[in-house]
Amino acid sequence: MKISKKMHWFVMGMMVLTIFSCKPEEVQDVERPVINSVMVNSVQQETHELTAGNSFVVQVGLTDNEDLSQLKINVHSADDGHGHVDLPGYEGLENVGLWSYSRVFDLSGTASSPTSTIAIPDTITGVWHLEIMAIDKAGNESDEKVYNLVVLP
Amino acid sequence: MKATFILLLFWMCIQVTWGQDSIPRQEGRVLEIKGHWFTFQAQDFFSSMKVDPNMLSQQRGGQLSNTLTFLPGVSALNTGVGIAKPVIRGFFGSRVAVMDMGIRQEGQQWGNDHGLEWDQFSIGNLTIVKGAASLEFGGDALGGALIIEHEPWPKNKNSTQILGVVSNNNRQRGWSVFHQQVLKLSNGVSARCGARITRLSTDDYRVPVDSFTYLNRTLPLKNGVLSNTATQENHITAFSEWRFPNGGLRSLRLTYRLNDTQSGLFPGFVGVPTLQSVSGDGDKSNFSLPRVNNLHQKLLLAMQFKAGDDFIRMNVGFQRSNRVELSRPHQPGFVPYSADSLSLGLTLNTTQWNLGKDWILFNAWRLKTGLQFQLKQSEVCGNEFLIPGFKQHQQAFYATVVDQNQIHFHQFFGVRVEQGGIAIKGYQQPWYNVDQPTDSVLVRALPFAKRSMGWAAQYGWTWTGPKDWQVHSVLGKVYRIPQINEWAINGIHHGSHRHEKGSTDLKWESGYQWDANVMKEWGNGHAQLTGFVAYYDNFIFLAPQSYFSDLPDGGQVYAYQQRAVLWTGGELFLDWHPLQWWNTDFALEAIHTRENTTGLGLPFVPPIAMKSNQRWYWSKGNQHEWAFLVNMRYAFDQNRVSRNERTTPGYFVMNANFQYGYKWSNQRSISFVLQCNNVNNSVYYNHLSLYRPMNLAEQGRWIQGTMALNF
Repeated sequence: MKISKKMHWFVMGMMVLTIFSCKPEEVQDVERPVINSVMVNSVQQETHELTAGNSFVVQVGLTDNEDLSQLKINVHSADDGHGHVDLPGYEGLENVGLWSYSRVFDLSGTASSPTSTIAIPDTITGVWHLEIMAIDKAGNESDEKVYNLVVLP
Repeated sequence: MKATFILLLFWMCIQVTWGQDSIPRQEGRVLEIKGHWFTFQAQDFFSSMKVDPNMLSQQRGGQLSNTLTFLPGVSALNTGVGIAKPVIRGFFGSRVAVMDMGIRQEGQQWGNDHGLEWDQFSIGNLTIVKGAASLEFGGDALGGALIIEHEPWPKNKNSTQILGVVSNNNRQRGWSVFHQQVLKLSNGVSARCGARITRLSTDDYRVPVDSFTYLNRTLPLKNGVLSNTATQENHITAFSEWRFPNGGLRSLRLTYRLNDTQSGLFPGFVGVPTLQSVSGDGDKSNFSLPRVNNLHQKLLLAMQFKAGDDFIRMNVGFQRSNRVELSRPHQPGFVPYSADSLSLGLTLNTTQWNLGKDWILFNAWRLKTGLQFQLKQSEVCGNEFLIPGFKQHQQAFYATVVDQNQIHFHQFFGVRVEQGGIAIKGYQQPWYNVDQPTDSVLVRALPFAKRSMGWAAQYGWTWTGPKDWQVHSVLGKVYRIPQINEWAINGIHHGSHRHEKGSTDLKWESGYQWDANVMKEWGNGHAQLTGFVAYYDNFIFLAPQSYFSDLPDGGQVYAYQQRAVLWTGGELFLDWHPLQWWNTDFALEAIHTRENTTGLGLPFVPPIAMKSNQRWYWSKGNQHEWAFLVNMRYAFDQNRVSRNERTTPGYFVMNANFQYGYKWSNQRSISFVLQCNNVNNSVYYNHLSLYRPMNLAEQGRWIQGTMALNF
C-alpha cells in the first residue's frame, strides 16, 4: 500500500512535469489586418448614391503587421427579402432587379491599395451592401466593413 | 510526450500490482460523496455526478443544457435561449455522448448551432460523466457523457405529474403531463406503462440593451427584442417496462420518443443584419425566415437475460432525425431565382445494437464485455449545400476488468477496439442562369470511402484512505472517429460568413487522458479536487485559412485540420452544511487549452469561473416545505482565444428562487418555484454563445414560475 501511495504522488508529479516541460512555442502572428479606408469614386462615407447603368470605382487601403494575403469585395442586396429598406433618407425605397458582385484580390506585403471598377446594371434600383473583407497570411481576418450603395434610376 | 504517457501507464501498472495489500474478498467499491445537489461517484472508469432530480426543477433554465450550468465543470453552448447543447470541461457536440437506455443519441449534433433534441421534463435520473467515457459509450465520448434514465417506478399502482411553466422574458409558457400505471400480472411478473407529453413555446428573445454593434454599424433593437427568435417544442415519450422473476428473459423495456422543435433564427445569424430585418414584423411569436424545424424520433428496446449466474444485456435502437432549414435563397447563381425557401433538408437514420455480458472471474475480478454495432444513413436536399449524403458503419468490442478483491484499493483496466467505415456520396451543384441550369457545375463533394480501425485503453484505481480521504485516478488512451462535417462539409454555415471545409485526409483523432479526483469528507461537508490533463496527437478543429471562399457570399475559409493539442484543467468543489437549514457550496473551474503549432487556445473554451449556491430551507411536519436559493456565478475574462475568436469580458450574475411544497400523502404533493434570473440585470456576454460574435448580450432580469402537481 505504501508503495502505491508513493506511486500515486510520483505519477502526479510526472504529469505536472510533463505539462510544464512542454516547449513553449512562439505564438504566431495574431494581429489582424486593418482596412484603413474604403473609397467609392474617391469619396469615403457610409452611404453612396449611384446611378443605374454607370460604373463606380472602389479603392481600398489596407495594412498588416506581417504579410497580407487576400481582399474580397462583395456586393449583395440589402433588402433581406422584404422588398424595401428602411435606410435613413431613403425610407420606402424598393429594391428592383438582381445584382451581385464578388471579386478576390491576391495581395502581399504589409500595405496595399487595390482598386476595382464595378459596373451597375441599368435594370436595378434600391439599396445594396458593399462588403469589404481582408485576410493575412497567418489567417487573421480584418474587421469587416459594410457600406450602403443606393442605386437610383 | 506520447512516449512519456506510455511509460507512465506502464510504470503505474507495475507499481500498483506490487503495492497491493491482501485483504479478504469484498464487493467492488464505489467512492461516493453525497452533496446537497448531486452525489459525486467515482466508480471504476467514471467519475460522475448523479444529479438530484429536485434540483432540476428548482434551477430550471430554458433548456436542459442551460439547467445544468450551475454544476462544476458543466456549461452550455447556446444559440439564444431556444437552442443549446451541453459542454463538459470544454468538450461538446460529438465529444459528449448522451445515453438513453444504453443507446447513444444520434441527431444532427455536428453543427454548433444544432441543439440537443430532448424534453427537459422527461428525466428520471441524470448522471453526468466527466472525462473520457470511451470504453463503454464509444470512442467519441472523450469529453464525457450524460446518462439519462426514465422516471422511477411509482410507489403505488400509478402516478401522475402535471407541470406548468411560465416566464416573462420571452414569454416562455408550457406544460408537461406524465402518467404511469403499474400492471397487475400473474406469476410475479411486474410491468408498467407510461407516457409524457410536453409542449413549450417562447416568443422572441429579449436582451437588456437597445442596440448592438455588428461589423462597422450599430443597429437598434426595438425594446431589446431579437426579432424572429421564437421557439416551439413538442415532445412525446411513451414506454412500457416488464420484469420477470424467472426464465431467461428478466426484463424488457420499450421506449418511443418524439422531439419536434421549431426555432426562428435571428436574421443577423444568416447573412448581414439590416435595419429592416432586425426591426422585425411586430409579431413576437411567429416564425419568419430564416428558421429551423427539427424532428427527432427514436424507438429503443432494452432487454436483460439470465444466463447461468450472469446477465446478458441487449439494447437496440432506431433513430430518425429530420432537420429542415428554411431561408430566403441568397446564393445567386447556385439556385434558380424562383427557388423555394428550403435551403437544407437533412435526414439521418441510425440503427444501433449493443450486447453485453458480465462475468465473475477467479479471485473476484469482474469482467464486463460488450459488442456494439451502429449504422448511419444520411440523405440531403435543398437549395444550399453543407454536407453530402453518406453511409457509415461502426462495430466495436470492449472488455473491462475490475478488481473487487480489495477494500481500500482496487484497480481496473479496459480496452476497446473499433472498426469503422464511411462512404460519402459526391455532390455537384449546377450553376443557374436565372431559372435555367447551365452546363457548368461546381463540385462540392467528391465520392469518398474509407475504413479505419482504432483502439482505446484505460487503467485506473481508487483508494480509500484514513480519515475519509478518497482518491480516484484514471489514465487512458482515447480515439474519436471524425464526424461527417469534419470529413466533407463544404459550404457556408450559419452564424458567420465562414465557408467551412472538411478534409478527407483526416485520421481518427487520438489522445491520452489522465483524470484524478481527491475527495475529503467531514461531519457536515466535503471537498473535492479534480484535475485533468489530456494530450491529443491530432485533435480536429476548425482553423481559419489565409484565403477566401470561392462561393459568392462566402467569407474566409475555415478548414478542419488536425494539430497536437494540450487540454488541462480542474475543478475545486466545497460543500458545507453548517446548519440544519442552510447549505452552501462553492465551485471553481478552469480549463486551459493550447494548440501546439501556434501556441493559441482552442475556440469555445469556457472561461475560468466561480459558482456558488446558498440554500436555506425549512419544513413543518412532513407536509410543508419552503426553500430559498441564491445562485451566483462569476466568470473571469476569457482572453485565451483561438485565432479570430473574440475575447469576452468577465461578468457576475446572480439568480434567486423561492420554492414551496405541500405534501398531503406519500405520493401526493404540489410545489411552486418562483425563479428570478439575472437579478442584478447584468449586461454580459456568454463566450459560448453563437450570438457572441454579433455582440449580442445575454438575457437581462427575467422571472419564471413553475408549478408541479404529483398524485
